[in-house]
Amino acid sequence: MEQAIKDIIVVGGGTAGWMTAAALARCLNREAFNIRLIESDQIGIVGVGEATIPAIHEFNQLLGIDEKEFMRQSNATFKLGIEFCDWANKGDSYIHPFAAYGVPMEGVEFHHYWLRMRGQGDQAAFADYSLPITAARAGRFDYPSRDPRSPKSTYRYAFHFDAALYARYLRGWAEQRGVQRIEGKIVGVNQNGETGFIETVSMENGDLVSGDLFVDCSGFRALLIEQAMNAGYDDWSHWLPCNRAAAMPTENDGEPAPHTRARALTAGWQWKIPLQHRTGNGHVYCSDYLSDDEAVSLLRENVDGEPLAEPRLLRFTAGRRKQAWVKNCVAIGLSGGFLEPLESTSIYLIQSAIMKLIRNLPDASFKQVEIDEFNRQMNNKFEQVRDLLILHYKQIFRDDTPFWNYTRNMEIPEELAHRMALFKHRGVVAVEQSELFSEPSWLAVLLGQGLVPDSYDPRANVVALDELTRRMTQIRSMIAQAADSMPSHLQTIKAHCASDSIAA
Amino acid sequence: MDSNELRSVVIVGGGPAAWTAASVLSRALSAADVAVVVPDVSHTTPAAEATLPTILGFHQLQGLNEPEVLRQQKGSFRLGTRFQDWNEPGHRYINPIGAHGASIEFVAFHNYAVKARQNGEVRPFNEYSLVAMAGDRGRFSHPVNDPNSVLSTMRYALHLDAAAVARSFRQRAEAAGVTVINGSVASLQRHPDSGFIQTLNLDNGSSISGDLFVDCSGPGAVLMDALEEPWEDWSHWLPANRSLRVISSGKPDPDPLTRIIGKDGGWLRQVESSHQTEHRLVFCDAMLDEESALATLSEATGKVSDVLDQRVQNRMRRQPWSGNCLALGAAAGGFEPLQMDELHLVHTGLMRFVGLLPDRSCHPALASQYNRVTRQECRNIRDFLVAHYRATARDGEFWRQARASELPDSLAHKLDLFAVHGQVAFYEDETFPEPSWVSLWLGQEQWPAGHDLVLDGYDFERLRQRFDQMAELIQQAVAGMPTHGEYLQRFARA
Repeated sequence: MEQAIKDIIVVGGGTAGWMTAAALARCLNREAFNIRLIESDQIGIVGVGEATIPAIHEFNQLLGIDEKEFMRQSNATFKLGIEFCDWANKGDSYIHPFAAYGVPMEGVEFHHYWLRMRGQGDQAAFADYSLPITAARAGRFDYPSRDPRSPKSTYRYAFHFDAALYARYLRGWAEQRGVQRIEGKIVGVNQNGETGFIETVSMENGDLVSGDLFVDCSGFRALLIEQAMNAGYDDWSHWLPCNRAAAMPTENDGEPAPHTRARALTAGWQWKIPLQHRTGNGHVYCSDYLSDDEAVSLLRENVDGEPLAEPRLLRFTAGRRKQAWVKNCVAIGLSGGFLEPLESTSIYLIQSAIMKLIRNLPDASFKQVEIDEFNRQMNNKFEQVRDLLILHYKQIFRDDTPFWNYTRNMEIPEELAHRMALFKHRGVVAVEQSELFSEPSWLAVLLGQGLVPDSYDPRANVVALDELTRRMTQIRSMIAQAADSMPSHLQTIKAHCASDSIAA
Repeated sequence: MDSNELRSVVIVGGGPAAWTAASVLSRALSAADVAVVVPDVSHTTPAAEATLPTILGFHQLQGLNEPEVLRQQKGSFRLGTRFQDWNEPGHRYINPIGAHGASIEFVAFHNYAVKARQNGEVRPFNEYSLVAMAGDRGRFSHPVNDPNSVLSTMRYALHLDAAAVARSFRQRAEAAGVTVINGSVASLQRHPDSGFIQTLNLDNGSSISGDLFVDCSGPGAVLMDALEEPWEDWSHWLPANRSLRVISSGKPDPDPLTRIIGKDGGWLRQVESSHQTEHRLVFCDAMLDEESALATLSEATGKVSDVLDQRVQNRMRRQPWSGNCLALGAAAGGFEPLQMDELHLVHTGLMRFVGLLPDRSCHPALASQYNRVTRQECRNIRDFLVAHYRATARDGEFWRQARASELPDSLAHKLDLFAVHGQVAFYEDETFPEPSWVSLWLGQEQWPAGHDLVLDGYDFERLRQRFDQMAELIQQAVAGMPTHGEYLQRFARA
């Protein structure tokens, strides 16, 4: 057996850093590993991922986190999906939920029946067949049912939370379990002259911190993976041209919605993330088409509540580190790549990288095949998410600004073009087994962005039309009833997980 | 919207692939006429079909119940494959269907077995598999629903009689109104621009037109060969190209495991059922002459009469769906029968195709989707078969070539990764799940150098107690099961 590694150094204490430290502390033998995290109080964190997707439950469950407790501590709200406004056309609105639509019948997916009915002149919207969409539109939220016969068992939910508070919560969790925090700034990275492996990092106060494995959670700076290891970056800005964001919290305007909102503007889009104590807002835009001043004034125009702080500016380039793991350095979080938060995937990509690191935890020999496997899987993850994001920009009819004219006409990855062609012709959604976003997600976005298939699966014609009409009506009314029976989002929060800001 | 939908489908062939396709497509395309052109002399198919668990889902989709399938298709239960003299003479292992043990949170069970072995434990890996132990003892019962019972870990596939499969689906197809035309394809007419097949001219002077054609005509591939669809050939990795088959009498208590026995110059496969036992010697005829092959076969079976000589191919069409023609079965390609027979890929191909049913335009995006998934599926199967030969120590050119050839990158990565800490690289559209790969490697003594370090965070003694207890429960459960023959009698009569 090869010699084991012992010292793991996590560089950076934002969301990625503390999630990594906590998960390593949970999964590894604490006597065999020494986990330390370096962060500086002087360096702010980006605090990505105020909005999440349901996969976060797996992470919280792994850590054994009490959901209600964590929601109280991070001012969290529930999330049933994302509302996209003004994307394909100004005035459009659709919700991407965390659930399938309708129910498959006779082995044929539901949307083919909806397409058939639509061809018959039926006016029912696809969204009428989704309980979480119906509930979200009504401002309602209830926990899913465990009874598989209940329509309320068919959806999942995620959270909106204050990412800085989540990181703080995880810090407490990790420190209790032996993770050592080192305060200070890193001023140098020292590599072995022959192997190029990182041996130590130099701290501002002159200390040297040595480690066997370094996890770079330093955010956009990519202090280790790029500045020391020169991993390289795949620039995807020709597909995802937004390269800046202006973020500004506001007071809540009424009860928090149980969904994220992403409204398309003139050269980008603006998020609205309702928390218990405030609302997060941010304008993601492309600096080729919009100045920072213009972007900030658009942001101010489009917020619903009173600003609580001055806008904060961020710069980025959409893309992915060519190799997120090089030698004994693994990049997790923004240092590993950046995809705009349009589908709330930032925390998912962090958690996915953490679990893949744990599954391929190296010993002192750092076998290249394990590094290759990690990079192979992470590259796939990034590309799969990327393509769903590009779809939002490509499949549009807007022609009111040069920005949308560019994205509407741009070349797209071949795989995505194939998927769009397949859907356009026959309503077939092709997804890989390993994909984060499964068929319902692609359906929500494809149809929501106005790509309506020319035809549907002919097997959907097997059910007689009057029988189908009856079943479709029944599904809609079951959903409407189930949504009606739910408490409001705020009621559910108050009953289970209100923070001091609401309880007071 | 309906105006351009398929109106007519013409299937060519008379074996299990053709009749299964006819039955499935006539159900899926209720508005189209389905015709089957049955050649006067059908190509021969194996007597026995070893299948994988996906067949259960396929039957369910087709509305077939299991006792009926077992009766009509002369079926029995299949629990995996028993390898004898494969790595080297005297070596034995079983690759069962399903997974061993139970996962430890997110850590797959085999990692425990790897660490246990490194700690000096000696319990054979298969003692943690109810399926393997039941298979070894010739026993069977269905899984139970209670997740707390070890009997819930039972998994299975089926052994079927190929001729009975064809008969049974032919009946279903004819009952559904499928037209049967006897005759062989003499020539075909294609559209000058699209290249689509328009009409088949038969040797009896008649002709038949269609919107969509399905080539199930076996290795002769009358349509695909006419379209000159190229092959992706894998014979340099998998050199077997021929088999000799004999049939002997059945066993009242058939082995629920497919048997694979390593021989000089190839291997022998045996599938038992209550009505017959199929023996197939699979070999490469450039490396083993016919006389020696026959001698090997007769030595193993005591029989040399009624020998059926068949080609074995390890290859796949680059585009099994080309224009308005879909190929299924040997016309599309296939593999040596080491882990399954042709029927499995007929089923997955049909299920994939009915999810992509074209209209008369046969839109290229549909064919491209079908072809890319099928290609990925087949390359993964190829890798799984190639992996079987890597660790063998048998002499002779056949075995040397099969283990020494330079590996596909996808497989090399998989083998290298497992060798370090026992992690499994898993690709899209894998046919054989992670536990089947692990059973192959550990069955062939390919233990990783290290173990999963996450397990060091667990109290190993407690894990050991838990899994020792599971192994004991498995032993008791197997002892309480009826024999395969007893169970079949009871179940098929039900």
